[in-house]
Amino acid sequence: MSSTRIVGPALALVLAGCVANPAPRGWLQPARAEAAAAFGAWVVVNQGAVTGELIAVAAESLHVMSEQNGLVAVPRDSIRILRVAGYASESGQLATWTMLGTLGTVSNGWWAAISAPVWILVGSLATGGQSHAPIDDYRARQGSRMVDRDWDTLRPLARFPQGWPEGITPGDLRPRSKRR
Amino acid sequence: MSPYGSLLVLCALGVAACGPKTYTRRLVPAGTLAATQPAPSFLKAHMRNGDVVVFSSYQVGEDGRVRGPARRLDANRAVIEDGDLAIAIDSVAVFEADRIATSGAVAPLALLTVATAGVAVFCLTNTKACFGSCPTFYDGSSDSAYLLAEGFSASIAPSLEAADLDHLYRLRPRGRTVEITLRNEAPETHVIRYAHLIAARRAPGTRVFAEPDGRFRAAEALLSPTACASAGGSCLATVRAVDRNEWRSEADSTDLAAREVLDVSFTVPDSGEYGLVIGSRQSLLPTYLLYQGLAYLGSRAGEWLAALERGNANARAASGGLARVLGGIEVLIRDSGGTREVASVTESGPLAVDYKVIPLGRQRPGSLALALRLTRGMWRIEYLALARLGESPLTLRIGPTAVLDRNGRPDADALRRLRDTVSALTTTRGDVYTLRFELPGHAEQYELFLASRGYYLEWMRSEWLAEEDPLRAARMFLDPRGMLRELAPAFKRVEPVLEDAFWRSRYVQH
Repeated sequence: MSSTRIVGPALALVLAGCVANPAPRGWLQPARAEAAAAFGAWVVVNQGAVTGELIAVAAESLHVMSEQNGLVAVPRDSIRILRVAGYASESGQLATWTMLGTLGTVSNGWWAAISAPVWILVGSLATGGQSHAPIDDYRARQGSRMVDRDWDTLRPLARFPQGWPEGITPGDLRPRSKRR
Repeated sequence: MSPYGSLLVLCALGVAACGPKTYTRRLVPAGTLAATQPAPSFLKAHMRNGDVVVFSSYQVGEDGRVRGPARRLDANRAVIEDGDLAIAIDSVAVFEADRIATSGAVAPLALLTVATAGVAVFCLTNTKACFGSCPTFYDGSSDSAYLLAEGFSASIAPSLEAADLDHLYRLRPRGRTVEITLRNEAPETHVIRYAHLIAARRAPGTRVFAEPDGRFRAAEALLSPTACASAGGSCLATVRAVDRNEWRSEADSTDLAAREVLDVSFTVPDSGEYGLVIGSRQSLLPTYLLYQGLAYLGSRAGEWLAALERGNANARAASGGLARVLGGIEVLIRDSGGTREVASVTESGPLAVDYKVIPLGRQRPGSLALALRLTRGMWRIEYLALARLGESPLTLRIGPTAVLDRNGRPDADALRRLRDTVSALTTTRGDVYTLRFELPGHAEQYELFLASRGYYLEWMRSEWLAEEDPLRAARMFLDPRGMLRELAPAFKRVEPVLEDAFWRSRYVQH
């Protein structure tokens, strides 16, 4: 099979290992821009019951700026599973790179029989790995609850890691706008 | 480096530099700010009122303040201050150290890109090691699709068009239908006048081999050698069976025409006519020399080919000069009368092993000492056996009954061109055809050979033009012995790489 003919299956394999970023398209930016913007991560509570920007981790609840319902406080006890996405992975760049690399093995002659599968394998792992990099999943553990360690690791991902700010009322906060 | 290789490397470096990054955040105590390692990409000072000051670099002053280029954002992350800012540490609710790093996924792809570019450069400069050559014929009936034969390797111009006969030694028909896949895998144009099967009837327990002149002989018994000695030691274990295990040697480092001798002994069980069966193929040495010759001709290669086509005696004589000096595998008999040459095998091509029988005449029972004289590093010998020869068998010439294109659709025009012996099928790189043949009943009773005829044209490559050297080109033709000495060091530098590239490839399965 020539290099060009395996691009389709290769693309399928590369994408098969990827995880979709749960944030709405354009909401998260690549790592550097996201860090500079200083917003909270995108969270998905209990598989979509509540979604939005993580504003703060309070003693009894998570404050989430929901796109539909505005600022909501989600009781910690009610959370069984939480997916957090911190930035846009840009794994598409690696998928494109993998495609070009796989196509490039046409210049390898017989060696393409080795280099093309290696490209697909390594490219799939790399692309899949990068797509997972910004995403963390937290699940209820002890007594069907998430443990304190989980909440501690969540704090830096909030817009306000210090907790709810002094002098700020829920009405003062605006949701983050999408880039496009 | 080739343009494509350069592009790949640039792409790798570019994506590595601005490619995907990872982003981690952690909270750090104010007291450890000065010693935070590794230095964060951003330091965020989260204020109690919800503002955040984002430092792109910072210093901790003795006055208890953090200073550096920064932006201050309000609770909704609108910029309210931008420039060199300083804030008192004790006014900060919590510090956040952000680290931006190149994704670990980039490194393996960058390495792979450089490796691919390296192989691409190698392949562009050593094309035969990567892209095959001449029409290649694969077993299309089996899943393994191993290489069966290569057609007319020495026919590099229309005027050098030649017929070729290849023994399909390992092809085992499963029924009356045999499918052979014809490929053009090289940057070449192939003109194939015909591709037919020759089916030679054989008795149970016997095989049929072709002599170098194309005559078929039944082999009633195949006897392994009792000894095989080369300059590198015993070669007995490597040549006893058709097992893809080949005897090989390296070219001489000072003279590519230097020759060596293999001494091979057999025990003749009873009187009769015998022949030496040789399964061999060439190394990449002749290919290297052909490409080097074309590189020296450079932009004048077309003129040389045109002279060859016009029947220019000098061009024709010159074209065979190197081949004559390099020679074939000469078979000699050592007996009480001395050493005498019987015949030689000159089968061309570095890809597929071909099997030929060299008649040795009548032999008496006892020991038979043979010598094979050949150019060092130019031949790979898989199989040597003594065959007791029988009569010439009945043979059938079978044209393809169908030719399928790469999508499995019948191609009537290609069929017509390959069936008759006048018109020709022209293929370019990447073309694939499946030739379907129908054997007579009791197909297992036939030994199969592939008869093909045609020629091919090498595509000139830009790398070759860079080496144009009319003086050396002339010497290649007029003084081949001298050039084989001059080119020896250059070939020795690439010889191991050429062989590795060829042998470690799993695309061509022998």
